[in-house]
Amino acid sequence: MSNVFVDNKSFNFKHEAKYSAKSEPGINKGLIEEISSYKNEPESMLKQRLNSLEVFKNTKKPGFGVDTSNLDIQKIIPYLRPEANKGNNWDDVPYEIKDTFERLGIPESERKALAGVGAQYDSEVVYQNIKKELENIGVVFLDMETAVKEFPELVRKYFMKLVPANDHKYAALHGAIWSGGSFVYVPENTEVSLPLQAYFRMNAQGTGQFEHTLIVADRGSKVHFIEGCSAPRYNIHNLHAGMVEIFVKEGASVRYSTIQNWSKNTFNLNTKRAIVEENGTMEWISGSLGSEKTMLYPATILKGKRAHAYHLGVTYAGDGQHMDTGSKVIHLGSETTSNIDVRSISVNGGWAFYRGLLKIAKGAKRSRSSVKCTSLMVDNDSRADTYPVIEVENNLSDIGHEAKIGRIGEEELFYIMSRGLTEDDAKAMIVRGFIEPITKELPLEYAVELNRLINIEMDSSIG
Amino acid sequence: MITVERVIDKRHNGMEMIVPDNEGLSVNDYGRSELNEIIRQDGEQYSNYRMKRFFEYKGLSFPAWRKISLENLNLLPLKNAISSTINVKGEKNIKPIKEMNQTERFIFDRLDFEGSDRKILLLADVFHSDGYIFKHFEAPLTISTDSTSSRPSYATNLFVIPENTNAKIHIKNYSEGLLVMNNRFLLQNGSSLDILVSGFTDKHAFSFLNNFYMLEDEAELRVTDFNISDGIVAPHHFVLNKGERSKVEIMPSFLVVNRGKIDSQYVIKLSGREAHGIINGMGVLKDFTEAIFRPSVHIASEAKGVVGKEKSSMIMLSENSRAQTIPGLFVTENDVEASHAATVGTVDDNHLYYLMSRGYRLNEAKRMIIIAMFNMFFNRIEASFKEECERMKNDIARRVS
Repeated sequence: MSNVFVDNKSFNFKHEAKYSAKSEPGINKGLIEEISSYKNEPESMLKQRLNSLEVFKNTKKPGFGVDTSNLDIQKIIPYLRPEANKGNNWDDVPYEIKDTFERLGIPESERKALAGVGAQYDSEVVYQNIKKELENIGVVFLDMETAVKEFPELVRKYFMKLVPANDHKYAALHGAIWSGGSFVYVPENTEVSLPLQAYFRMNAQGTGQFEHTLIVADRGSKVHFIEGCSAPRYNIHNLHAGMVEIFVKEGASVRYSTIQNWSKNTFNLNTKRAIVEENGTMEWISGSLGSEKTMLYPATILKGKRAHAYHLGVTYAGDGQHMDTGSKVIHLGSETTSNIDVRSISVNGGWAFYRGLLKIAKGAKRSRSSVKCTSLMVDNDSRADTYPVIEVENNLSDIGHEAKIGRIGEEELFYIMSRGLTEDDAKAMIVRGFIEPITKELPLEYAVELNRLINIEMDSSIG
Repeated sequence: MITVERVIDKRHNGMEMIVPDNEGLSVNDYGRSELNEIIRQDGEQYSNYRMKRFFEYKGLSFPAWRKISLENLNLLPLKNAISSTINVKGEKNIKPIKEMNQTERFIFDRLDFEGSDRKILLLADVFHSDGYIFKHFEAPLTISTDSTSSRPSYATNLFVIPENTNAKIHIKNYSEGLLVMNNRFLLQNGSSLDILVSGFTDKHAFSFLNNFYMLEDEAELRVTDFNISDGIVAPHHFVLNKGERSKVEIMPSFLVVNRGKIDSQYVIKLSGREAHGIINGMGVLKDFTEAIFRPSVHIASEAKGVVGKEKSSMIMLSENSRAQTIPGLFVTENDVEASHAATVGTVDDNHLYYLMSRGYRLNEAKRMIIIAMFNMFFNRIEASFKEECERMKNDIARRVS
């Protein structure tokens, strides 16, 4: 019997944090008006929220993906404000909250390897800081609420323009109830040499988190953004329906790395999308490890000529997990290129489903794409599916796709064990090797963390 | 109780996946009066068979497919329906479906499946003008079915390939109107079947083929499906490898011309140990055409030692054509080899360069390459279907210009 598992112990701790506001379960117009009023938002944002609410009410659930019939939105607490003042000094953050982030290693990472950090606790950002030298050259890294007030023009121009409320039901829900998240603006020809990070912690049971991340990388700029998320485990459902919108301008380059480790009572119905202009590059590096059910398909729209997308992801589906993940790349501009490499690990009865879309539009002449899906089934109680849709509308492009599903090879095991390792260690090594293309793209601290997360423990016989 | 074999298994360990609802399409449909007209002469088993399916049929709508629109589907009067022509030796083992007995009814029910769409499948199951039960026949068997713009054709056939026997079948469909054909095949232990399906669908015509194959232990199946379409065609082949060490190879190919559209689906479900399933397809799109190619391999839990592979290439010759490929793998057993590879593009530059360096013009070089690809495809089945291969090669050469 195999027991390959993700180690959630270091994330599964709870604090009795104090809250200054806690909504009733469910969403309604009154609550949205109250949140908007508290955030002191402009009238236009309130209007956008209320329009989204109408769309949400009138939109059916997606006709694909995971079963959400046991997720009752009206039982989810959508807004929970911690009793903390937003600041840029960890010492000002209340002890319980600070300790949470200390245990997650955030302040330490900030000191060692980050250019800036945003930390969200339930519905609000409690800490936001960026290195002074970056601030001085015009790099903006703010919580979303502050950006709405300080950069109204930019927010009006980009907020929910890439993923409008009518995109799907959970985008509409997000548009109505969003709270927290990050706003990043990188000026022209500016490189942010160290990554920026946002960490989202859902602490209370039965709540929803709806943070909005908006990144605008102006012409010729470069930035790496890291997103981390976790929650303690409860017996009732939590919901995460965040949104990420990224605008990559001409010649700019954005890398967005995620290590998602929600607890196994969480529905993760997240939306991530980027649009890339001429000669720009968008890279999604994703590790989807947690949650009970996930629907997540990072998408890149290659609008400009010679724009490029790189999607690299690993999905882990363990006991009771149904992970419906994938990548979407839409080639609109000519000579655009994309490279998709996605991997999944199914273990202990889990279900990993790859759902991809690659579209080459009529105008995307001389475009090229390579899509590769690989699934590792550690035992025969699990399931791995791949379902890529490849759509081509011009005859001057080349698309290649390959997929493979299999188990840990006996020859590989034998080879490693002949060097003195136990079977369990040998399997652990093979799994680490399987996800190595992802870990080597992460900063060292995060690669170590990802490897630590995927611990492997097994007794005698697998497969 | 009839169990309908579905393409997708939506459940796993208490979890469920959501699949899109069938949005119904309003079509002027047949009803009880049409059924009453055609069941007058039916025997008891046969009448029951039709009636049971009719009640299911009435509860369903035609599909509002997004890629291939059935908006112009017109169900013509049944009294004009055309029957198939059968050319075979050993006719004593062939009988009209109307004479089905209880055992044969049981086999029909055992071989029930979804088809490209359940409503379309049931259209032919209920309202077929003809159909046969083939139990043993000497090779080769040819079934030709035509439809015209005023005369539809609906057919339902059952083929039983007895233990340790071999069979060759050529199904030849020519559609100028509406043609729906359902074929169910039971390959008993150790039997083998080599089948060629050639379909020619004319402008404004609709052609639907639903083939279901159940393979018992060590049965072997080779399916060659070839379509030339100027109209709308939706071939569906569904192979259930229930038997241990059973083997199937499906070789689809198509040429779509003018404003033709094809939505082809090839499904292999491997549930017997050490079963093998391979789909190896190619297609060429010209002019203002659209093609959807949906191969999928499904491997059941406990199907140890199974090999399931898919490979496909689509060549687009026109900037106005659209191609979609959806190669699916659905695996619930880890002791397997499962893979797919797909390419979509145009004619290989290196091949073109080689021919053009020898004095051929671009268009002539492209034509030669396409013809060569199809010829290589037909060469693999030439030993079994020589005459038909020659005819198809000539047809391709004429149309690829």
